Amino acid sequence: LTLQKRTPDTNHAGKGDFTTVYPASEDSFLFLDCLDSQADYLRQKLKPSVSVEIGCGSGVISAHLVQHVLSDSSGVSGSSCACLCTDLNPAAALCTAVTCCQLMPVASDLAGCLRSGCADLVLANPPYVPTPDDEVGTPGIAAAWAGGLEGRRVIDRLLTEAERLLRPTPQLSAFYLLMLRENRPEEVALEMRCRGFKSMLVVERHCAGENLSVWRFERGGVEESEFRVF
Amino acid sequence: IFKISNMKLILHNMLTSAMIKGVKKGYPLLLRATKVELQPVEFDAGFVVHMLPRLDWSGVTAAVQCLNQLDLLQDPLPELPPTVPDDYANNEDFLRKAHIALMQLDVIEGCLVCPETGREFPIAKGIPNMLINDNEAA
Repeated sequence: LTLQKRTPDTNHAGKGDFTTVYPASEDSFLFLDCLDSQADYLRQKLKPSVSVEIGCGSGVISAHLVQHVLSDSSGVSGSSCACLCTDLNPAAALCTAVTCCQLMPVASDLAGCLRSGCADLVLANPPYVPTPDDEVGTPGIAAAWAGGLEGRRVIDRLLTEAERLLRPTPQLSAFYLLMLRENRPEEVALEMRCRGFKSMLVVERHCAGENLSVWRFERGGVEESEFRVF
Repeated sequence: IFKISNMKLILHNMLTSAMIKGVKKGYPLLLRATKVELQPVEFDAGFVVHMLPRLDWSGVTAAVQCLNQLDLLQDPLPELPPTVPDDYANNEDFLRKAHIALMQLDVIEGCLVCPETGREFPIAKGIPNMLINDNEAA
């Protein structure tokens, strides 16, 4: 049996009104592969109610999550997950709304506008390219890749943001982060361990001169019935 | 024709202005909508049941009250009880009303207002813009 690999259509990104929006590229597709390989975990163990993608760009990653990974195989989008998406670029938020009408985009610096502890799942494909620090977060498409010193400036902020957004223990929560070899992922994994997260390398690939990996940082998880707290 | 997603009350429920300097809670944001629409989204009880424990219900009721006061729809949104009923998982009447508020109401234009500073955040084309200037940041 051939496994059909489905990918959300993001042909509108990178042109017209969305010229400044990062179109889906090898790094995005690696992230989709990661989510595909984690489908059982996401659907049966984590069962997220709220997902937050920080730096959604075209929206391809969250679109894939809600349309193909969390939904059942009949293609009916029966996902019981609110997929929030943030981006520093308002054009990216709008592009994301076009990519998938089930997503909930908002223009924001990281996820500062979202309440602490609101998410069970955080996703980030960050700007990871080592660049001069003054290129980080500048208006336009460069913000999509400029990661400053060792490509870590935004990643380091993301670690703290993800930790804040995720539900406190004992609730199970997970953070998926894509990194470049130059970002020193093992060091980031160790840092996350210190913050109480179990670290796991999910997928790794050499794409177009870059060695990329997607990691899962997991916290909490108690084998008992769901807490219902209003 | 693109079918674009517009802001839902679920997103409103998660938003805060706490990234602004001096703001203690920043929640719930006042919903000053100028254009809203009701979308015919198929009722999904499972979705509502799964989402309810994750919402701050007082934020939901505040948003619905806000919108009904603004009188932008042909018919007001169904009134919601002040607390989630204990039997919510089996209470279809309640779940249907909650579903309308949470998933069928599209906020297309307007603004969100910080309850502590009055700072306005625009909603345009269904997307809230929560970006602030560097000098406003905490």
